[in-house]
Order: sequence, then structure tokens, then C-alpha cells
Amino acid sequence: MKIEDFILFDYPKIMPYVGILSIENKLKENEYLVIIDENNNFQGILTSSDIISRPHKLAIDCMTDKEIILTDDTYPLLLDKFKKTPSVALPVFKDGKFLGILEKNTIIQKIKSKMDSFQKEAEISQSIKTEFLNNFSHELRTPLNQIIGFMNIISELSSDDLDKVDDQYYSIVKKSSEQFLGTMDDLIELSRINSGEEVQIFKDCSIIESIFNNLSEYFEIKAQYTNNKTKLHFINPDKTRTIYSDIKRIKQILFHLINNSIKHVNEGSVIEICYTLINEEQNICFQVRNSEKLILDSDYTNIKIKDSKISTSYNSLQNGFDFGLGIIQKIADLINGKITFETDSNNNFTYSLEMPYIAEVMK
Amino acid sequence: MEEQSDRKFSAQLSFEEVRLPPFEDILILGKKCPQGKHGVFKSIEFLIPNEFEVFEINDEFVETVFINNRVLKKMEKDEILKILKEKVFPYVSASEIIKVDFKLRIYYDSVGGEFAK
Repeated sequence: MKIEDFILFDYPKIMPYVGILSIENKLKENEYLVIIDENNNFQGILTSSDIISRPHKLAIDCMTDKEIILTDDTYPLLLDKFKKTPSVALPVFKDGKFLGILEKNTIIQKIKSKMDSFQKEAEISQSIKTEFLNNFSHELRTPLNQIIGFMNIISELSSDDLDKVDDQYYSIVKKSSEQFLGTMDDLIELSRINSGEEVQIFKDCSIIESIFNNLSEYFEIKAQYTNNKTKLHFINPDKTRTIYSDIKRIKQILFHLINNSIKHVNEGSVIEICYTLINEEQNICFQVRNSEKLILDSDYTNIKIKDSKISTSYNSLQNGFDFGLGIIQKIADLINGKITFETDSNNNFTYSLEMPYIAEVMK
Repeated sequence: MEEQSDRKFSAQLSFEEVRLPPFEDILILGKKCPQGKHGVFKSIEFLIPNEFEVFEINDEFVETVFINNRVLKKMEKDEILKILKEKVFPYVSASEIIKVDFKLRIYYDSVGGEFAK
């Protein structure tokens, strides 16, 4: 907000040597009158209180000294000047030259509106921070509790029973460890991106099916200790299709888009993850969207509660640890990607990641 | 027969010479008098240009003092204003315009020197 933005150039004016009686009504209407002489020089501002303290016959004789606003005055100084001077308007000068008039009401309204906006932003920011910390705490505790829980079970088993331990237990512990490490990596990366530090990308070739499988396994493990019955459907028309890019970033982005999606759908909903090649296969567009279509069991990864002897004491991860779209876009920027979000009146939504597509690089 | 009544009038008439402006030495303007310093100054300047100087006063009731340059030639303005503050201002109301006659006579105790040969 610059002071120049609020300067009034069309203000009520009078000549210096006019009689007070002739301008009384004009003064009542406008609350102030600007005295400008025949050479267009600013002489001063006349207010009703001036006439009371100096009841002379000529306008210029009634004027009292008032504060002058400079264009580089700060807002606290501005308010201070208005407070010192019992006038609803003050002249604005720059380099000794009169520019125009600043009305007190205008500036107060603008400052008030700005303060309201700052307050809302602060409240939103505080709310986001609180939710982020709460979610982050869940995301750290979940895999740690899984690891601790399963290790406790394994430690209580007798040597005979140890041989019979299902590989699934070890797999869960391993995946939970990886999940925990992934969460910490995400947090560190988020800090780096937000601080403006340069983040490296490492390109590699991978089949898209492998990316989808990793994500599917992750969300399957995560759902074991949540009440979320959301179904994920990964659609891959070409299971041999490859992509050459920073695979870790692609997984990271898709992971957060899926996580965000799960948060925004009702239990039992289906979320589809698919991709399309566009612009004559120059670009690829990954999409995460909600869908009301019925899906056969063999086609989807059904995330629902499985029987488990491990009890948890924390709440459902309905509001799972998720990055806002702004941060996901920052990660997408690293791979020249663009995130978009569309929704319609039926609450159907689609998150899209569009990025350059290279199938593979010949070495 | 119609009655005719003669109308007569009487007025008290007197006249004297006046000079403009109607003061010669010093004029004091109260803070709430009808004429302010700009109006009075402009009038005086139109009547007798460059004959008066204007001094703004920091006083509870007095706004401005006009002093004739002839008086200022004989005594410093600070001395004049000091005298006015002590002897005249206490009697000035905010709504008044006061004309002050300030006739200055300067005395020398002795004047000595040598005759030219």
C-alpha cells in the first residue's frame, strides 16, 4: 500500500481572500476546503474548527497550521499526524511539491481492511501449522508403533514358534521402517524446498507398473491400522511402458495426491490412478480422481481393516499427513511438472500431474 | 378639506478629517477579532505600501502586531514588543483590534566633541 495510491486530486477548493460568510455552506458540506491561490499554489486547509478558533472574515486568515504528509511517511507516522491535527484531510507533499489531499477516512479504511486480511491469513496459517504438526506426529508414530508392535510379538515368541513366524510380519516391519524413513526424507526435503535450497534430481528409467505397485503396497500397509475403506484402482493399459525421470519425485507426488484424495472422499469410495500420453507422446499426464464406477475385486487394491492382534491407540488417519498443493507443485517444479486440480458440482475431482515424457534413454 | 402634514427630519452631523489607515504607529489584532492578519496586511499594503511590518505573536489573546517602519527605525522590534507585552497586551481582549500611539522621544544626556578648526 503506497500513500500515492490514496491521494485525492479532485478536492473542494477555494481562493484565499474569499469571505467566510460566502463559503460557510460549502464548508459544512465538505468538512474541509483546500485554499489554492490564483497561481495554483497550495496555501492551506480550512476546517470548521479553524473558524471557531480564528473567527476572522477572510478564509486565509482563519486557517491554522496543520501537519503535512510526505510520500515516504510510514503508516504509523501517518496515523500520528492525523491524530495531532484535528482535520479530516491533510496535504501530501513530495520533494517540496504539493501533490494532493489524503483523507483520513480513506486511509483508515484501507489499513483496517489490510489488518483484517492479515488476521485471516495468520489464523489460516496457524490452523495449517497445527494440522500439519498433528498429522506429522501421526505419520511418525504409525510406522514406529508398527515396528515396535511386531518386534514385541516376535520377541515374545518361543524358539519353536519363531520358526513358524509368517514372512508377512517381517515384511510389515521392513515396510514400516521404509515408510518411517520416507516420512523423514519428505520432511527434510520440504524444509529444503521451502528454504529455497537447491534440491538435486536423479533421473532413472522405470516401468510405470513398478511405480504403481510401490504405491499400492504402501497404501495397503498404511490402511492396516486405519479405518479407511477407500479403494484404490491403478489403471495401466501398457504394463511394459517405461518412463525416464526422477522416479522418486514421481512417486512422492503421486503419493501425496493419493493421500489428499483419500482425505476428501467418503468411506467406500474408489480412487483411480491412471495416466495418458498427450501432445504426441511429448508429455505424460498422471491423474488421481474419484470415481463412482463399480470395480471387480481382482482389479483393485482394497484398503480395509484386516484382522490384526495389534491394537492401536491413535485415531483414524482420515486426515493423513499430506502436503498442500502448493508444496506438491514445488516438488513437481523439480521435474518440470505442473499440478492441476479440477472439481465439478457433483464433488468429483481430478488431480493431474503433467510433465515431459521420455520413455528411456539409450546409454 | 385635506389635511397636509409636513415631514421633517433632523440628524446630528459632524465630520472630521481621517487618514487611512486609521492608525499610524502600532496596530494589535486579537486572536478572535473580525479581521485577520492577511486581510489587514493586504489593506494596509494597498493604502500605504511597504510602511508596516507584521509580527506574529505567541500570546493567549494577541495574534499579530503591525509596527510602522518609522518606529522600528528608532527602536528595535524586540524592545518594542517587550514594552507592548508588559504595558498593553494585558488589556487586550481576543476579539479587539487596538490602535497604539507610540510617540518616541530620544534624549541624550550629553553630547560632546571638538570644534572643527
